[in-house]
Amino acid sequence: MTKDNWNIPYPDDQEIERQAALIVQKALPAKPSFFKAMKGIKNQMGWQYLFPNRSETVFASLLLAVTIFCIWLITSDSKSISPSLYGYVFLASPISLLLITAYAFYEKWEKQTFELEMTMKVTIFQVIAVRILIFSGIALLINMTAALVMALNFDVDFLRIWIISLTGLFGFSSGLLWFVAQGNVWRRTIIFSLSWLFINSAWLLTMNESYLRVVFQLPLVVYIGILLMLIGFFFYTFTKAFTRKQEGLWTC
Amino acid sequence: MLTVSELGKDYGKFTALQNMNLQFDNGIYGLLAPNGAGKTTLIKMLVTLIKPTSGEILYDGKPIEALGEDYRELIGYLPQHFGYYKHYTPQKYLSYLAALKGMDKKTVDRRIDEVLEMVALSDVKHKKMRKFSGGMIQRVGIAQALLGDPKILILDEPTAGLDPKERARFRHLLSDLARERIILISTHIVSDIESIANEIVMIRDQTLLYKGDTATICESLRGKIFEVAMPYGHFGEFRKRFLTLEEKQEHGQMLVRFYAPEQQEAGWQPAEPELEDVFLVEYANESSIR
Repeated sequence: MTKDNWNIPYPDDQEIERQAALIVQKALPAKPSFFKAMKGIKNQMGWQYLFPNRSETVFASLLLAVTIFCIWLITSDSKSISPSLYGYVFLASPISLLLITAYAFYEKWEKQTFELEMTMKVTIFQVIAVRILIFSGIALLINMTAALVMALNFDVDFLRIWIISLTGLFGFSSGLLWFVAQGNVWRRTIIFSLSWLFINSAWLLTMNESYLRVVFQLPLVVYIGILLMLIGFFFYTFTKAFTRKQEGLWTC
Repeated sequence: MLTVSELGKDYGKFTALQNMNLQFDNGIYGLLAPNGAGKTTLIKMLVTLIKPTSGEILYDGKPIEALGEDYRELIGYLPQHFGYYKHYTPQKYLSYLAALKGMDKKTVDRRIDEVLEMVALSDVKHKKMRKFSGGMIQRVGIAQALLGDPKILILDEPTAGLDPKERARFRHLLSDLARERIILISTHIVSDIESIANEIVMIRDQTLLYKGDTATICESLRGKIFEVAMPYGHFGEFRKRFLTLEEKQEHGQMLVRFYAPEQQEAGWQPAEPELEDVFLVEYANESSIR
């Protein structure tokens, strides 16, 4: 049999497609969906390791107790209420989230576990993002309860005050996650958190009649629309933070 | 293979490291330099904690930053200050870190038992770490670095707090592990690495000074290290003229080991250079070892 030097063996179309798909899969691994990624982290870490520090649980419980006490104090005092309550609700709703997140990181820093944990496969951002999601869920329930208690004791609209509190919560959480997803994490998140407190406090103190009219008279449907947009933004920023690289974070 | 190429790190106007070029294959490497020389900066870049200002680090030809979690999965790291949760037991803390390392849950318990056995902590694996001594905590740190059976093991001052017996055990352990992985040990304690390191990496003036085996590095001082015995009264004057490396009192006299690069006088005994001599000579002007 004579050898044909011009006949180069060529794979069939099916084989070419299979090989091309393999190359693409290796070079550009498909990003898992939001829920798949969440499930993966939850399965990998389990709840107990998402909150490894006992003092965090003590701190969160203490915070909850203080919140309940404050609500009780307000509701037991008088049935008349200041119109600026809505503003305070907007300002205060994400504070528990902020304090618990800040405390968690202070503990890691103080116990010197942060450096080691940042060299692990699961990024610190994945842990932050999942924790913020969980805290947002808890804060959502606390806000709803607080809104219900206020609605029962005062002449306030439950739905309005609940939605205002959720707008504050998701607005803050989204902002926090947005800055987590960007570079220069520590400085930006601290500036953002302080700005939130400062701007809202200043806003409340200088609040005038026309602002209050807007707060009271703005149709609920507009509030709901804003809230839905913020929830959408929350999930967008969550995905950004969840998938960001953490290499080089130590100097950020 | 881990390759460091033209690596540099600046903090504002301060240069911590510059033009570092290194290559690591399987084996033990001792990173030797006085405190503040840039060892920890290099290590933090190797474990992705900080980004280089210039140059890059490659693993098997790929930039480690691009490899991301695939690279971090290969690392075992013991930081200089190993932190832990006091109310955790070694078993629980290693389980926690195993979760962060993304290890297979089915094999974690067996692996934890193995690494705790390696560092002789099996007996206390269910005891809370708040009662542990510094040496025991350090051994937990070494155990966690070994947990994921890493291809690259980076240990920053690993023998701090260990007693001589534990240090010897640690050296045996590393010698066994080095066949299949890159082990980089940062230290300023020469004896920790002198006998086990395949190569020594020395940093001075923010850049690489030496990279080679102990014998080759020591060769640079051949014919320049001497020993001499003298009365105590002469030692003060002698010390002003020469860099002394070791002194001890013997038979009523002072026995001095010293560095003399340009001259040899009668009565001086030439001595075999050791790594400790190289360290003391090369860093003679560093404030931390004077």
